[in-house]
Amino acid sequence: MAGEAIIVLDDRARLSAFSRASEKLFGWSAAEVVGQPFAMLIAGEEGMNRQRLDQLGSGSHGLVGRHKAGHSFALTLDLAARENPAGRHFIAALRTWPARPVDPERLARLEYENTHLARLAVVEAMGPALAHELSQPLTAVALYLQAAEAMLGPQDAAGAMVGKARREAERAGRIIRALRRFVENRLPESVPVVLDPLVDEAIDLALLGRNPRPAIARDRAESELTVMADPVLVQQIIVNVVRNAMDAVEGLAEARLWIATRRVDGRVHLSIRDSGPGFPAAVMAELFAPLQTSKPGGLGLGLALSRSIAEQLGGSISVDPGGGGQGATVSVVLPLARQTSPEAVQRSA
Amino acid sequence: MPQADEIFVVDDDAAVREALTVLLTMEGFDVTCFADGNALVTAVRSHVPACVILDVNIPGPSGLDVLKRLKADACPAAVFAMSGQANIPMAVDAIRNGAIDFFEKPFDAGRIVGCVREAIADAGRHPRVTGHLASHFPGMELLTPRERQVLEQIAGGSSNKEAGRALGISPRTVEVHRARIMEKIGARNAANLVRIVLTEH
Repeated sequence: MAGEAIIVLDDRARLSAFSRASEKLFGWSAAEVVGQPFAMLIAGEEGMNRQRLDQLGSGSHGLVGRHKAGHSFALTLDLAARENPAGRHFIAALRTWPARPVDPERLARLEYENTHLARLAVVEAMGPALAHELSQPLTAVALYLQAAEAMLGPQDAAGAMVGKARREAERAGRIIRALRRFVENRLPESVPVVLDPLVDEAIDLALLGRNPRPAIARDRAESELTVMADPVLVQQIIVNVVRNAMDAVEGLAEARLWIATRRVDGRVHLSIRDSGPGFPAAVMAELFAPLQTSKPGGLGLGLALSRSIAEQLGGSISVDPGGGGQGATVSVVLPLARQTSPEAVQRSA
Repeated sequence: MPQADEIFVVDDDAAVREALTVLLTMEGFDVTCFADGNALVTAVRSHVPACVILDVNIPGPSGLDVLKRLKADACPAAVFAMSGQANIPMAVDAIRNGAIDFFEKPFDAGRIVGCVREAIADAGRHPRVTGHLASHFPGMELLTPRERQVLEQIAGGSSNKEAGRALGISPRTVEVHRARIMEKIGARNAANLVRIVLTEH
């Protein structure tokens, strides 16, 4: 069978992640089993709980698996217990017999991904505080530069440079404000948002830390496009997709993205095309599946999350894989905000 | 030469205080700084400036408390609130308590000078917000009866959840109504919306 089945168990031995290979191995889909006790997958282990997992500890164990169809099969379980800010949990790699030797690299990678997740949680918790701490000095910098600019006057060469520095400081300020809204923990809202400025801001966010930066050709819609959505969620999609595209062209002689917005019927199309090699067919098949990634250190959540957000907003995401000299194109479609009418309001009440 | 207009600045960050002082002094204002709200309230009681620029996140009494006290004293100065941790309820609260506008830090330096000048030029002509919906405001006739009810809740300081409970609809529906109301009235943001509808026009 292809690959190991990877599952993640929470501190009460319930399934919190169930990979594609696990679905094949047990016959259940992830949606059916996530949140269910691990014991349902193992024959003769009704008491498979947290204590039992602790007792098993790390390392390889022989068990009997139970398929959805009812039959049993021999299993080898490699277990690793981990702590992160969310609590204790377990990562299990499952194989049918005859067992392959444990791949230490694979477990090391799982561990790496796990610590990566934990670090992300810390960054998320720190984000708003960090944005606040940076906003004070940035405010002062922009004010000083504004004063120096006025003091030197527009004719002065140094004054012109100070003006440029002031505009850069203000740009940094806009990024901080966007970042604060992006990481802030709050309920989603639905407001009319104009798409193009939001896309530009998301591109700035996606460019953070990129060096060298790809060339970006930006094509804006002729008229102002307004969507009814949570701006932060829309931005999350765009940041994800643009970062993916940037990854695809990284290190290429021609590193270029084309990002366009246009209106098609009653909807908004945002397309992100890259000059990369396109998606191989094997990757395409599992492109939107969670926990599938072709990137070292990637989590395989970006596109899966983006799609679920887009669908929540009444839109969709589609991918043209490109290939044969063509880069990939990801298209995000969102509904336009409807003209406000009293009837529409009555219906929603 | 006429007396320079006075501005009081309240911020616990020394660099922000000094930078605002340098800039506003260059722009011809007479600037005095305070590191906390108590010092400001005391100073304002003996001497009213043309304008106050007040950080909401300050030690001691919060910026909102300071706004309330200035309002209770019927202080005629134009007050701007600012914050590095701005959110919608905070902005709405600041406006309800008499702030003219709300700056999210880090703000564009050029904008604040323009706003301060405008507010001082308009001195005495910017009516204070009241505690209730104005009898008329722009876009009022475009609102449905339901939207008007939602607006009354929001302007009264209710969260989406509280407004939803009061009106027997979901917080999500309140959200949708709020978005449509902002669209109809032409408000830039929630703070701006509250300022518009609580001011007599």
